[in-house]
Amino acid sequence: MKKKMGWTSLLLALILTLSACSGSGSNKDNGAVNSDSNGESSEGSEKPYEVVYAYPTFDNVPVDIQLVQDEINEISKAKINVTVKLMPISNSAYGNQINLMMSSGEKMDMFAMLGNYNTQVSKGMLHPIGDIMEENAQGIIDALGPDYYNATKVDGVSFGVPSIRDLAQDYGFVMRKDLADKYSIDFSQIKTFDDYGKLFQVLKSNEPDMVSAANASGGSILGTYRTYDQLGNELGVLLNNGLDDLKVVNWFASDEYENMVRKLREWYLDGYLLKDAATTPESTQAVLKSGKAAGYFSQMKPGFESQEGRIVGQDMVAVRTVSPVAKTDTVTNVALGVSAKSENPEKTLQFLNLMYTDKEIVNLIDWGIEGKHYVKADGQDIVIRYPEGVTGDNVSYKNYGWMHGNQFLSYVFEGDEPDVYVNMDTFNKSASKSKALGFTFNGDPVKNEIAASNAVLDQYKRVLESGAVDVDKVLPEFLKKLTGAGIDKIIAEKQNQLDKWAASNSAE
Amino acid sequence: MGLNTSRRWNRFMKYSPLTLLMLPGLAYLLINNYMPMFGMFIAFKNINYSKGILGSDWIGFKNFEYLFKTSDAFIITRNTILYNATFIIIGTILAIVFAILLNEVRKKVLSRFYQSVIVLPHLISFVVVGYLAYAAFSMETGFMNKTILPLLGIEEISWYTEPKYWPYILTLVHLWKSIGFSCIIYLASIISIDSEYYEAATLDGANKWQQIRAITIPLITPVIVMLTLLGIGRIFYSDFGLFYQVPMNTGMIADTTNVIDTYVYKGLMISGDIGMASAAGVYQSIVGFVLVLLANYVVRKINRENALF
Repeated sequence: MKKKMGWTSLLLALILTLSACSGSGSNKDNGAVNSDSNGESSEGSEKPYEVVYAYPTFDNVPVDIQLVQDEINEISKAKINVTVKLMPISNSAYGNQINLMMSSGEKMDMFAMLGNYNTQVSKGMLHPIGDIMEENAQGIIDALGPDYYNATKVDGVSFGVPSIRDLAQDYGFVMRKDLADKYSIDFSQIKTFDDYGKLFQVLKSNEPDMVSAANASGGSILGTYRTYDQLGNELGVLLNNGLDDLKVVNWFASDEYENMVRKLREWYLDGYLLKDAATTPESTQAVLKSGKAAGYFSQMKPGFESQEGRIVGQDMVAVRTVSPVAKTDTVTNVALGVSAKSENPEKTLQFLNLMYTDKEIVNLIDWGIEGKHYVKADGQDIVIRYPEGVTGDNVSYKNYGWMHGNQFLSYVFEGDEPDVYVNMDTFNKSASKSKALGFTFNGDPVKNEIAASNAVLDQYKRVLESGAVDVDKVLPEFLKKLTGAGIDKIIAEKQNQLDKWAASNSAE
Repeated sequence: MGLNTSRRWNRFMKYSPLTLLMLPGLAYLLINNYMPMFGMFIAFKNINYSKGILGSDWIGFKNFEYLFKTSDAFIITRNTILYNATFIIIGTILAIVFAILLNEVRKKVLSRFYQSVIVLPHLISFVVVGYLAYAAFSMETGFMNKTILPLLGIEEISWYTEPKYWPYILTLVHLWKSIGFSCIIYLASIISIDSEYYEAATLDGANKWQQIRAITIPLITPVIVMLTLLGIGRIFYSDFGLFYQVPMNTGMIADTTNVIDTYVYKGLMISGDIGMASAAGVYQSIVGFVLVLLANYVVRKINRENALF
């Protein structure tokens, strides 16, 4: 008897293990059945379609997310018979989570992309929404305008749309205002990259214990300062922000790059740059807060000074040496797309449309519930502040306006200029446009070369652009390794795709 | 024949409770180690999510190409093997030395105290270790540059741009962190040695050194062989935390700090291509597997009893 028990339990254990193995398969079947019935009922009658919306968050999941979601659903149910499930995922795990959800078939309809729009397209993660855009989301096209909407097209079809924020960028140097005032620095004297040396010299001679420039968080001194159109991945670029021609070149082998890193080396040796720039894990703003550095290079937008000033905790002032320009990358930098696995792309797109056209929904997602998470500032229509007793640290709902749809419909927080979004709109419209705006590179045919080149960039870029090493010795080594990794093949492929794109564009 | 089978069956039934005890471990191995092997085919596919993982196109060995693409291929392979070989050799010797020394400490309290101190680093996350190293080697505020080197009258050293120092730093950090754990395994097997051997040896007039050489080492040889073989099986894998966090991912010292795992991470962090990542995994495990077979073969040639299988 005892022995028999032993065998039955062994058998049971085996069966359990086996069923665990096959578990995923049968679950999937169930899911499919459910979804079918979902689809039918939403066509025929009342049952609303639930859109699951995944996006990265840089903070904890807000406490009141369910409340806000309920409020959104009330509106969206009435308007398009759709409910939404907000799914914030910690940014560090975000990429993996999206991959896992896609490959395991977990329900997800829509997700945000930070800087990886074209890789997601080539990996087949996105539904070609361009095909169903006009019927379901004309509002998005209208809000974006044709230029920026077309910038998302890959082989003539759009796979995602950018959130409406600063769609162009200008580039420059931002620094502490008190220092600029104290030494009466004349920013009009600074017109080119080399001119920054004069500014740094003044700062250094007056504040010997302080360096002039810190590095971008996790990056080099140069950071996001760009004078070229990176065409997706910096491996093969258009010089002068793509304003001149469509000739793809190796940025790191250009004279301009060499001049820049030589200047940076000079400044490093003069003590103008943070010595630890190539290694420090500290954030730029923390370095500024500690008083170790006066400023830093960065990409910019209208209102950039006040945004950075709030983080650093001091008034900031900026000088811009590259005028505003729109490139595919500045547009698709933050993009929203419909998952290739979505069961109902039409309904999902209709909800996305609301995020670009419905003021109430935009403000619910961005700021939460009025009276609870924010109140209108006295006598103001679009300016809001926290209610009594609530601060940025303890508010029970927080989100990122630049990520979710049309930020220009969003309220302005007290302290920002009330017309910041009007300015940004003008900025977007007046920015010059790269000749390759709208071209999205598909790196798939050369993905081995890209992976190898990225490993090389990781090794050399930050140290070179921080002035920490001898340019004469390291730059040739860097270029040699890039060639070895196959950058020329990437550039040829890119040029080829770009030419085809240009030809089909002029045909239209 | 029939008699033989039934006898075997009887024997099996007799030990069935013991066999049952093995089940959880087997289930774990099956779920954790064998089922994922199914994923090896991902290395040969160009994953497209809209086609699904099974439906994606086969592309042969294309995913493996980037591993051998540049001159770095040689450097990362060399680094991985040399570092791991160093770790296995020095790590084993030091762990045994420490275990024997600990075994000789007669005061219980002191022995426990030393053990805890040695094991403590094993429990610290590599992220923290990375910052500890940064606190020592930073240019602006580092302990080495600001305190130690001035004391010795040596110029400041830019540690994070000088590749030549890193083999020593990394080996030191690895030993500091891992020695405690393997030391405990050796200590456990030393303690289990019958004390009669030592008593007999003492009666015959053997001194401590002779006891260690003639009794302790031979009796723990099976454990040494097993741990070394396991180490060799993982010689193509490197401790990602050690090689990524401790050098702070600094480019200039990559020649001496880049290993296969960090290279793959740096190359794929942007594209996140799971096919290429799997290719690296498959490559590492196959080479590891072959090395284990080889090492075991060599051990068996020398001494059959010490071999794993």
